Formats: sequence, C-alpha cells, structure tokens
Amino acid sequence: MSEKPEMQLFLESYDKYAEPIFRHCFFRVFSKSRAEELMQETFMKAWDYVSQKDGKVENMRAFLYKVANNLIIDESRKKKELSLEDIIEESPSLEPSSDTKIGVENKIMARQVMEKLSELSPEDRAVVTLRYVDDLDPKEIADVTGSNANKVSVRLNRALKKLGEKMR
Amino acid sequence: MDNFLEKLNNSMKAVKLDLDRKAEIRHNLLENILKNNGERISSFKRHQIKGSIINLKIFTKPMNILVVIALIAALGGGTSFAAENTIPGDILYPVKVGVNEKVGTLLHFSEEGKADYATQIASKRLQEFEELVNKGELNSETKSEVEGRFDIQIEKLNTLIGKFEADENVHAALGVVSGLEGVLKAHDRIIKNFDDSDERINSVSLKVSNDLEDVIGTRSKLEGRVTSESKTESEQAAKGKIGAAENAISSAKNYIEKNNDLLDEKTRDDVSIRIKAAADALFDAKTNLDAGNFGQAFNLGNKAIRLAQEARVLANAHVRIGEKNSPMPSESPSSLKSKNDDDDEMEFELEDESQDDHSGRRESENEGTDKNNSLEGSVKLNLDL
Repeated sequence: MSEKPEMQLFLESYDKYAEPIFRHCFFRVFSKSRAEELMQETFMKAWDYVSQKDGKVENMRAFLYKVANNLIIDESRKKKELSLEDIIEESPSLEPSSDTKIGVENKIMARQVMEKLSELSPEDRAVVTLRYVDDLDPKEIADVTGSNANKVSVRLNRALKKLGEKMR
Repeated sequence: MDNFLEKLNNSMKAVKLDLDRKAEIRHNLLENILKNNGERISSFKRHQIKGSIINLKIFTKPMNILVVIALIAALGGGTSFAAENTIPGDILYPVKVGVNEKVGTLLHFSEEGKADYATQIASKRLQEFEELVNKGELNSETKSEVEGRFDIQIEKLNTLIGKFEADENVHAALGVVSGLEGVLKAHDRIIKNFDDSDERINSVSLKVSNDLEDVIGTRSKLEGRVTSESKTESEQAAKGKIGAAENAISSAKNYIEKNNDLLDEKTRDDVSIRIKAAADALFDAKTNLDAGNFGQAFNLGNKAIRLAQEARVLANAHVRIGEKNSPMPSESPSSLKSKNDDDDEMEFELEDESQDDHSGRRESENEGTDKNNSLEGSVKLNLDL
C-alpha cells in the first residue's frame, strides 16, 4: 500500500473548498450548472499545476480562487452578460429547508442580491464576491485578481456605494 | 449598504452545492488524476486515498425538487412502484434512480439518515450488478452505469463519515461504517462466486473487496476510539445502539421467515449462522452495558447490526437470483468464515435458531434490500405536502 500524499492533500482541498468555490462561481455567473462546471474546471486546472510542481502551493485557498477567477474572466470575454430573465430562471439549489419560511426568504433574498450584483461590472462583482461571499481580505483579493490592495479597497468602496444606492 | 450585506449573507445560505454533484465531480477529478498517472481505476485501492473513482458518464442532471414532484405526478405512483425492481437497461430504470431515489434522499433530513439511505442505495447498485450477471445482461454500458452510481454512494458515505469524524461524532461515524461493512461483506461474498474469468465481473469484485478492506480498517480505528470511552453520552449511545441491533436482528429474522420457502438449505444455514452470531453479539453487548463498559457495548451492538445486515443481504440475493443460480458457496457451515473478518474468532456451528429474546417487531432502519420496499407511500406523502 503506497501513500500518495500530494493526491490525498489535493482531494482534501477539494473536500474543503469545493462548496466555497462553487458558491463564488455562482455569484459571478448566476448559473448553478455553469458554476458546477467552473468549479470542476478549477480543480482540474489546479491539479495540472500542482502535479507539475510536486504539490507545492503555499496557499491552496488563494490559488484556487485565482484559478477560478481567471476561468470566469475567460468565460465573460467569450459570452455576453446574462439577461435579468436568465438570472431569475436559475434558482439556487433547493434544500428541504427551503420549504421553511426562512428558506423561502433566503431564496428571495438570493434573487434580489443576484439582480443587484448583475448590474455591477464584472470587475466590481469580482471584488464584492471575493470580499463578502468568500471572506477574503483586500490583500488576498489583490493576489487573486492580480491587482494591488489599495486599488482593491478603492474598487470595493465604489462598488458598495453603487449597491447601496441600488438597494434603497 | 448594510441592508445589501445582510441580504447577501442570508442569500448565501440558499446557495448550496448538491452532495450528489459534489461526489460526482470528485469522481471525475480522481479519474483524471489517476489516468494522468497511468493507473487503472479498478485496481486502485480506495484506502490509499479517501475518495472514489469512476467517472459516471451516464448521469441524470441534478433535479430541482419541483421538477421531481412534477415528474412523479406525471408518471403516477404505479410507474414509480413498477420502477423499483428494475435494473440498468430496463425502460423504467431512470425513474428508479432519477425519481424514486431522489425523493428518498430528500426525505432523509438528518445526516445519519442520509448515510443510512446511501448505504441502502449502494447495496441496491450491487444487487443490480448481481442480477445483470445472473441474467447475462452485463455489458460495458450497464456495468459502467451501475458501478459509477455505486461509487457515488460510497463517495457520499466517505464525505459523511469524514464530517462525523471532524465533528468528533465517533458514534455516528462508526454506525455508518459498520452498516456499510455488513452490506459490502455480503455482496463481496456473492460476487466472488461469479465467474472470475470475466474481466468486467473481476473488476467489480476487486473494487468491492478493496472498499471492504478500507471500511474494515476504518471501523477498527473508530472502535479503538470508542472502546476507551466511559462518559454518560457513551452510555446513551450504547443503549441506542443495542436498541437498533435488536431491531436489525428482528427485521432480518422477519424477512428470512417471510421468504423461507424461497431459500435453499445452504442459504438457510448460512443465514442462520449469521443471525445466531448477531444474537450472541447482542447478548455480549448487553452484558457489557450492565458492566459499565459502554464503548465495548456500543461496538458489540454495531457488530450485531453488521451481522444481521449481512444475513439479510445474503438471503435477499438468493430470493432475487433464485436457487438455480444461487451464488451461495457449497462449503460446510463450519468453514464459512470471511477472510476479511477481523472480529474475534468465531466458530460457526450449525445449531437450531436461538430463542427470540427480542421484544417487538419494529422494522430496522435499513430496509433497502426488501424486495417489496417501495417509495410508493413516500411519493404520495410528498405530493400531499
């Protein structure tokens, strides 16, 4: 029985980050099926890289977000933005708890949030999602997006102001 | 702005990755990794890495609950019921896996309930494989479908077991592992009696053996953690497990009695030995409980459940496949010792069935192998909500 630690570690990363990466992709592309595909592609590409570098990635979480972000950017360059109707048609995964009052309310809120996020530019949407969905700090966001922390903070503030206006 | 952030925070709870889909993608990932390493999936030992293997190409898209309900309404309960005993290649098989089992999954709310149900479905997949072999309908497509769907359940179970362990819920983890072991042990035994010159049968046999080896290893490790416990929670857990063991033995006995005429003598012997061993383990569990050895009582309760499940799956195999093609081995009862069993050495002796010392006729939680078990009632319940 031979151990394969790099594979084990990688799959443990999948177990831990699959859902967060999926959720990130969902709030970027507003399609559950596409978010699943992007999540899968993220991990496939991450493995391609990791297997070449003998599994040495210092911060796997940030690395995965970087890969996901690049895939989403590539996608947005190829396709036009989804219409509001397309977004509303794609509902989040319905759990049994969604039949409760709270579950239904959360789903309604998700749709409202998706509506507002869809009105932001892709770049603004990226930083808002990374900050408030994925809980990355500006430095980490800068690393993921290839920017710097100051620019990220400025973009974040402007995006939230726009959202604040829209949500009134 | 605060209003938006609050809504964003709440809306995140509505966005979840479906467990089936997570497991399927993990499959694809691992298959890709192994292929790049030039490894064969069927010979891969699951315990080398946590996770499972097959890339399921035939897979129904994950369904929204509203779509599921609409499908059930359109098909009617009769169709749903008729689909229950189908195998890959049958017209209604997609209803069984895409509708009935989806409903079943949705109706199990707790994680332990989901794990039990996943074990039942894993067992069903292996039953289907056995039926395909028996009917001469095993081909690369049906094998791929049933094997891949089996792997998805194993994947789900690995995820749930890992979660229980991470939450320090060793009792729940051990319960799941133990139940799975009983099921795998029985199917391993059945499949090993098929023609091993067929590479397709051989690869599935190898997979089940490897999975069983993994599960036994995990079970042993978890039992070690439980044995040393003596807290109040352990006493409750042990009592609960003993109650579940009583139900499992009672349920297995009921099933065997109901189908007694369909079993041949060898199968009856084989099953009786296991039921007796289960009853003995239960007795020992109660003795340990009285002595305050709660961890040991818990482990013995699990052992009793495992043996009862094994007996039931073996009996069910004979009922489904029939005497002519019975996969039961021809050895004498005293040689019926699984080489995978690392339980204390047991002498399997042919005796009259032990007296029933279990009260009640409550059904066990694991009814998946019952031929007459359908989701008819569950379907109707769902529509009435």
